[in-house]
Amino acid sequence: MDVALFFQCMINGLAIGGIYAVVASGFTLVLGTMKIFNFAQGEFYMLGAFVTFGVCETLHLPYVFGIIAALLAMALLGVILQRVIIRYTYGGFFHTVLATIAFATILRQTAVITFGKTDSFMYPVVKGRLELGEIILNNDKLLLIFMGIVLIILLHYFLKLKVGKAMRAVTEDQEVAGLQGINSRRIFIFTMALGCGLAGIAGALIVPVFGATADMGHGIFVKILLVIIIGGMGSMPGALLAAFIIGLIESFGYQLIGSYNELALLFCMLPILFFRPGGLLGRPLAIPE
Amino acid sequence: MKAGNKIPFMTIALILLLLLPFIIRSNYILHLIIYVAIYSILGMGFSMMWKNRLISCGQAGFFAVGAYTSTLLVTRTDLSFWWTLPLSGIASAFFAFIIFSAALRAGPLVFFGMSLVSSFIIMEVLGTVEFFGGWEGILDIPSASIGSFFFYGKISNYYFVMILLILNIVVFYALYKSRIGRAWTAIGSSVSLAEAQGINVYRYRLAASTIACFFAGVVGAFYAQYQNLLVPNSFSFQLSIYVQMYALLGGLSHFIAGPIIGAGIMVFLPEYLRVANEYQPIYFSILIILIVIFLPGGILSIPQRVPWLAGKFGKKKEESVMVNE
Repeated sequence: MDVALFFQCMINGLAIGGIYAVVASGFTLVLGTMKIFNFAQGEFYMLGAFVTFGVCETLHLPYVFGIIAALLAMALLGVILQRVIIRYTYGGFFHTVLATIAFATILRQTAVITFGKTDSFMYPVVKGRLELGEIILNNDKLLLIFMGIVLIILLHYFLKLKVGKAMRAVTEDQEVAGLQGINSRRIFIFTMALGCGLAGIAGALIVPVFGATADMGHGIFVKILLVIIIGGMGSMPGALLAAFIIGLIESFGYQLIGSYNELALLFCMLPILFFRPGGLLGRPLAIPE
Repeated sequence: MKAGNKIPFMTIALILLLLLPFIIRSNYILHLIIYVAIYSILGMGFSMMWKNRLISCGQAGFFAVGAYTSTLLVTRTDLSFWWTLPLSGIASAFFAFIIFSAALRAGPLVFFGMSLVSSFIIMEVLGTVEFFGGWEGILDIPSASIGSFFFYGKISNYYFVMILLILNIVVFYALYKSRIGRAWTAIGSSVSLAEAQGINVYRYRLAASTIACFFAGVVGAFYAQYQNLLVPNSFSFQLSIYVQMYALLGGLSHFIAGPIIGAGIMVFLPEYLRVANEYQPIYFSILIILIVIFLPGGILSIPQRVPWLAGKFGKKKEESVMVNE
């Protein structure tokens, strides 16, 4: 493997990792605060990509509007999921899981019927590439990495604000938080909107680089599950670290061992899980009984 | 209900099962019944894990491991199918043991995630790696045979799968009645209480998931020789979800009857409603949401919910309410 290829793999891995990190942090936010295993996260990501595609390609609006539209639409859809379905299934963890699985299936199948199974490609937002001697770096992938890191940092500081504190209070104890004047219903709605909106943004970011497909939601959902398992459930820095690790393993694995790379990924992860059950930077999260 | 009262009922059911191919005489319905049996075995495996409050999202993956092990052994080496039947179960159980021995250390939530991830990765590997036949799958898998008799038609395969199903029910029933089963019930009602009683929760949960995956592997071997072809896409995540749904629809607190009834309804209902293939997942999902919201205990919980039926089954109520939540 020469230097140019090495850097190419590195950039690809980090770009994919950045996207995983954004989607996974939204997922882990919802899981940590509300104890909801949101299966529809991957489908929100897919729909976010299609919303951006529609806004930019069909309505010919600037790309920034596409990102904002994806964020708002997915936040709204997330709130609908929470208020219309999940709210009534608080009886058991498994029932909530099944309800979100069903919601995800409805979204995916509707997308497959409407958009078909072909890829939808958008015009590239950022063109050109950076050339440092032999090493060639595509600008759009650099932007992806940059945006991923910026979003995670923004989220990290956002959670230190008053809203973030209220979210943590509700996670600890809903009743006591209520006694402190925190409206847990409103916090839940807000968390759900934020978590699903992040998936929408990730979809909006990826569409100019890799395009959008109706069944891309499932693949990324499996990867972000792996990210939060390895990173530690409910741990934001852990999710970031694990996302980049998994992105890099995937990109180098594909280059080195081809189609066995998924299996290699699984068997790389098992020892981590065996020796650090709580993930790299977290502690085991219990299912509410 | 005492065990003694069940014996006449069981005998009648058994005789009915034996005579069924001669009563129905429709190959298509027999085909559907074979599928019900396959899904019931997968669903009972799911229920066994659910008894330990583990949610498995990967039954399809371990089913696939069994199917491919048997097929590869039969086509690439000259091993008889009857050797590969237990071997595919062992392969599946071994795979489950490796993955879940790591995942269970971190608790049920990670178990849930890892079962989904591993089943997805199994499907991807089966599809992309040349050795396993690729996305087009493996064609012309030979049917099982005893001497010169081949399990080719529906009727012989019907008896074959029924033997597997009954074997599965007997083993699971015996396990649930044994010391291990009581430990599982204890874990299901409260993990911390079970731990306080000296039950090693990790080992018992690992045992449950390994046993469940063993049977998934065995029925996978049957599926391969019955279908005569294997396509990776038929072991997708959707199948795992359907298996969960059968168990939920039948009733999560009925570990043996629940999956059978759920699978029976969900296999036959769409066939008679003639739903377009594309829209089927959407209707299924809407049905799941409705069940989850309005009938969380499944169909077998209806007698307890209807007042005038509750008197007849009053004794059962206490037991299953305790197990339910």
